[in-house]
Amino acid sequence: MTENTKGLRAEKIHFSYGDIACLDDLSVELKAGRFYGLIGPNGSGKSTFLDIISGFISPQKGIVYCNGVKLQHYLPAELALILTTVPQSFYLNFDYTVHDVVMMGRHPHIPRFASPKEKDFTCVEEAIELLGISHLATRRVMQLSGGEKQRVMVARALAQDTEMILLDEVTSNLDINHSISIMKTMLRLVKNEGRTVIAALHDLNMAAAFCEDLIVLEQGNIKQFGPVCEVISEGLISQLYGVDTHLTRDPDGKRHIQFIYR
Amino acid sequence: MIKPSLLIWIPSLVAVLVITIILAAGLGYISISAGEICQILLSQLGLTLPETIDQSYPFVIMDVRLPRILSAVLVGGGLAVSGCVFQSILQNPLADPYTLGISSGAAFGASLAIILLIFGLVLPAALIIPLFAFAGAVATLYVVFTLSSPSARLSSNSLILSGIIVSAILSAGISFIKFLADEQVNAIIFWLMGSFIGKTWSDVLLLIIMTIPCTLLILVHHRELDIMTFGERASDSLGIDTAAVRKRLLVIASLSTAVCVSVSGIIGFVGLIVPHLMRMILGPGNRLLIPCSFLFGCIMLLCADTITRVFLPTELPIGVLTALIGGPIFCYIFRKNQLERWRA
Repeated sequence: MTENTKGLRAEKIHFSYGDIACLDDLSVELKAGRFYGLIGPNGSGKSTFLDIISGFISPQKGIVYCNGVKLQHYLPAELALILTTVPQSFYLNFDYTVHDVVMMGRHPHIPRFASPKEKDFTCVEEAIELLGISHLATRRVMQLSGGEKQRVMVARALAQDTEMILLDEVTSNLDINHSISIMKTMLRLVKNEGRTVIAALHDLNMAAAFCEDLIVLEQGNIKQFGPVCEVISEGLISQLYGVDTHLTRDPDGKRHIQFIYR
Repeated sequence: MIKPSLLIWIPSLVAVLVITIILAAGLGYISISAGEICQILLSQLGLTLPETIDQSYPFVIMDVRLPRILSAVLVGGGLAVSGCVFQSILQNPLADPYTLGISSGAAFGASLAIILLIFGLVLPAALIIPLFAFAGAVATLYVVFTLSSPSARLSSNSLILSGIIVSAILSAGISFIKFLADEQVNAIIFWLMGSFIGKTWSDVLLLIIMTIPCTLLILVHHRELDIMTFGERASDSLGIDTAAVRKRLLVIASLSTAVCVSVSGIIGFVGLIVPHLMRMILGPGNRLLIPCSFLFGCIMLLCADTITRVFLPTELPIGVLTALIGGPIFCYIFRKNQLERWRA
């Protein structure tokens, strides 16, 4: 497998719920080793797009390739060694400990009749530490706050140790410091370990500050796709959301979006 | 690495179960001591029976009491394990083996068999009633799956809803059959409340063939069961073919339940309370929860059956007893737990 087939490629994806087209003729190539932000107004198809490229749902038309191989050719257990998703919502009805929940992230690595090994425990501890939840490790998940639960789920995905990580609005429940910390961790994984992160975000400043490339969805198709500094503009935000903004630029080129409330 | 709790809990529960079985076998109209029971059991393995023991005792133990005791034990274990599975898969701690309407299906099948017998069908009742009950349970399961399957993923809400709808229709059907049965309605009512009276070794054999392999198959999936409580997206992203595993485990647990119900009638609360109690004590991890629930289910239903058989002046249907004793105990524990959580 050559280096340039690494990553995810969607070709002419079409998906509709009943008569309502959710994604229409969408094609995009996401290269390995980059931090992608997925933005767009509510209902633009962000979550559906993530569901399709993660293999959770199949598109009615079109094909998704993961590392050059058709997504449906992977067994679920094989795919889980390459790609993981942190869903926007999840159920918590049973009182597992934080450590137990993060250990579930090792499931694809542990054969059916085996128990967790030394390496699995190390991975779990590292993930817990990276997310800053070591003090919660023995606590029961149902007693945690929404933001703490969210961080446990991210830690579980990190324990899964996959080359691609898909995040669906994971920072939406978090305090600003934890949001920043998760985004920094993800950026570090991309820069240092060459992993691929695709994060659906609705905080545009967060997307502008940490992501390398942005995929802008509108009404089920890609409106713009490219490096953050080329994509983010006052005109685009006004078109997407109908809100006036004022853009400023850091000395190091980072964009800051100031919303004008009228 | 095996957690120490696994090594403590399972052997202790096995020990309690064995002691309970021996004690229960000794209790009854003729009281037989534990020592004598052990000698009778050993004599089955070829040892000679001491002459001090009454010659009728081996018959009482081996042909009357043990089949009934082992039936109760296996039904208790089977229902408790099915309860674990239904609770995990439906992501709902309040689910039980009957949530999908298996009990209603079995009850309808059994009622139908009884009314046919009343109307003059000439077939052995001991064979035809369990057979109809099992067929009713399996048919219900099929209908519930078909009703909720357009989503292809058998989501827990659509399953629970389909179960409720089908149960409601079947309940009406049972009422109609009861109406038809007129003065002989007692036979139906008695079956519906569950009983282990007159169970034989063939019942025990049937239960062993179904409940033990089903429990082992379920136990093999303990990690999947844990993960599936977090919802489909979460379990799919961990490499579980959620739709397939869910269907497989629901079918296994349902078949085990269907056999239990067709042997004993409808015994409520065991499948709800036992997994719940065990979860409060041991935590929700299915690796420990499933074997411990099985063993505790065995012990609990055997105790209940022994109470109706030995201590009550007339035999109360066991389904009534489990609900009457289990319900209030459950309320108390649940309330205590809620208060603790609320204070914390």
